[in-house]
Amino acid sequence: MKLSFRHIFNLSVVVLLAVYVITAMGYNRQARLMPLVISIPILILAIWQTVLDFTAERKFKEPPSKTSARAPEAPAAAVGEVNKELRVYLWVIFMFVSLYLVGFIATTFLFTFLSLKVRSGFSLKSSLGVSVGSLAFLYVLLIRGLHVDLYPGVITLALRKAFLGY
Amino acid sequence: MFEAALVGFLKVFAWPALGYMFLGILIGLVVGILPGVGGTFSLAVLIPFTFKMDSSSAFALLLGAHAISYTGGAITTILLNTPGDPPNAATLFDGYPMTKKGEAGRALGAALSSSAVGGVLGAIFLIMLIPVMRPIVLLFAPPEFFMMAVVGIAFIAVISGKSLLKGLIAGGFGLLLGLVGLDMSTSMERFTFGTLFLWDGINLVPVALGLFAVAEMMEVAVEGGSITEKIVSSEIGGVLRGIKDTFQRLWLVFRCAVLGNIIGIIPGIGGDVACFFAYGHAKQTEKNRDDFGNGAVEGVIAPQSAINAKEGGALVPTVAFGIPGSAGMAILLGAFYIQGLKTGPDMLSSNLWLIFSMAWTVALANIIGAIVCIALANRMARVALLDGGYIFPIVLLLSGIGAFCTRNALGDLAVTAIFGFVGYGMKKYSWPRPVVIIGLVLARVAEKNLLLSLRLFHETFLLRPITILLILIVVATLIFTLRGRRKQA
Repeated sequence: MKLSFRHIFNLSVVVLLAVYVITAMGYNRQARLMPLVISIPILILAIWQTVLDFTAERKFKEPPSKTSARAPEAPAAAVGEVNKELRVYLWVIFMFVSLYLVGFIATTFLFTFLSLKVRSGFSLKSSLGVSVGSLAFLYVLLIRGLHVDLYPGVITLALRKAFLGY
Repeated sequence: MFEAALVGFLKVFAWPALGYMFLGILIGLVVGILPGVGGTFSLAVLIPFTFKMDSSSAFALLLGAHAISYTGGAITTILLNTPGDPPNAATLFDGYPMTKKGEAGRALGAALSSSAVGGVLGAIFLIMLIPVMRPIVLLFAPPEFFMMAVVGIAFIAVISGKSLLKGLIAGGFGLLLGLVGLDMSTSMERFTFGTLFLWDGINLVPVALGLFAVAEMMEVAVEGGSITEKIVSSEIGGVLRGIKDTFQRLWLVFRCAVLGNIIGIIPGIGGDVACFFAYGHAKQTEKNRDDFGNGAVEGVIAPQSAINAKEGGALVPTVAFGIPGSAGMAILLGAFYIQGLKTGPDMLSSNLWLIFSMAWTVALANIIGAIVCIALANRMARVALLDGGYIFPIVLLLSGIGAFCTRNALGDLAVTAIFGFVGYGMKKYSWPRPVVIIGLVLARVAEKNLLLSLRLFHETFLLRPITILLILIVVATLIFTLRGRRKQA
């Protein structure tokens, strides 16, 4: 049987809940009471859901049609969709890693500009305009107006420590 | 009493209090729109400015900002699936689907008008409850809090969507997330895996931002295009239709405002729960319950009616007993001390006019805030037509800022990122996401009050009158829901 992403997602839920149950077993009586009361029935339901998904798919799976002209296109479309998703995942990861490394101010400009110019293919003018606008909004409203202390980034902190001594 | 009410009313319109209220409303709206930087934040930021003010001006500024911040939060919730504050999360169940259907203007009109009406009702309840608030608050103890949390958990079955099984698993997952952190009775670390950040538990805002805002942006990026390809009605027509929807459902607005007000009054439950209760109640009682989750206007009106009404309720224990009903009220309590005012029963006799003045401020701020937002709503609704390419980086960054600002913790950024992927998976494979939030909100309330109830009353806590009433509500909710599902099947 071929494992689809849906199956992997369902199985991940089961594994996560199983880890939760096993971890909760190690706590003292009072601390594990509520986690176990909830997690054991939920784990059983999750296993049931996974089994239902496997059996339902097997039940309703149509035999592949030899005459269908569109059949060869389907896997290609699915691969295209997965590639598209993977690219979006990478952009999301890029933003969060960038927030950690260079902080909010640099990421606001960098991520907005790259996302608009490289990912969406907008013109340089509009990409720059929106990026500068976002940065101005962040600086004027949050940093100057509301005095929000935004994270400067691990690299900025290291540079500050190395050159400015704090 | 009447004299105090009149003095309180006139004080609101006296200069400079009126000016400060307008300033507060403006700040509240801007802060409310920003995810994670909500009403509590605005109170904390504004408190230092009240040192040299007289008491009516100070509370006009603070309550003007606080009363309206949830109204501002509804805007990003509906248009971008990005809740401004935890209570706004209940509005996105139907608000964002309405935007996707091309009814952003209608959803905004309904949300803004219902939150204004709810806020005014909340202020009226506050005025009405002043003489009788003491016995009402004392009726509630840990057993009642626990059973109220169980009522909320029972709503998971109501709003589970098409698959009850998936709904129960997702709701249970939310409950389990809520148990992460130090155990309240033994201080034992639970599911922290040695991470100091997790000692305080998992915060609601980063999870909601990940599950909804980040996941939605991932979908917009994968599918391309904009949030909606069409606006069903003309923008201003849509906004007016939404306002009309609210006034056509005044009975629903009234019920949800009462519900929000009562939950707001009870210290210990937390006002965030009120909006989820109101949503569950609407889904249970409205005729078109099958449309909930797919863009039912009642699903927007119900939580928004409760959202500001609960703040009026939360003021009751704050002024009458000095017990804050919400995090925002805890900060407001600080303002009382700055003004040299002592909260408690004395406040009801010596400074009654001020309590009335606060109630009038809440009512007026809600009306003014809603009018300002409604005037701008038709323009704001066009955000839904913007190319997804523009929205994707901006909403992702707003989510990151909102997550970080909640506790100034980097760990919250990681939580948002992880739940972004989880939310995308859940959406793709048809798992209901709102129930995760309900579970997360209620887990700690349920556990803390169960342990307290067992210690204080042993098993007999289940035999207290209000507890029995709440048990009956839970049973009725489950029977009603299961029967409804069987009929559907």
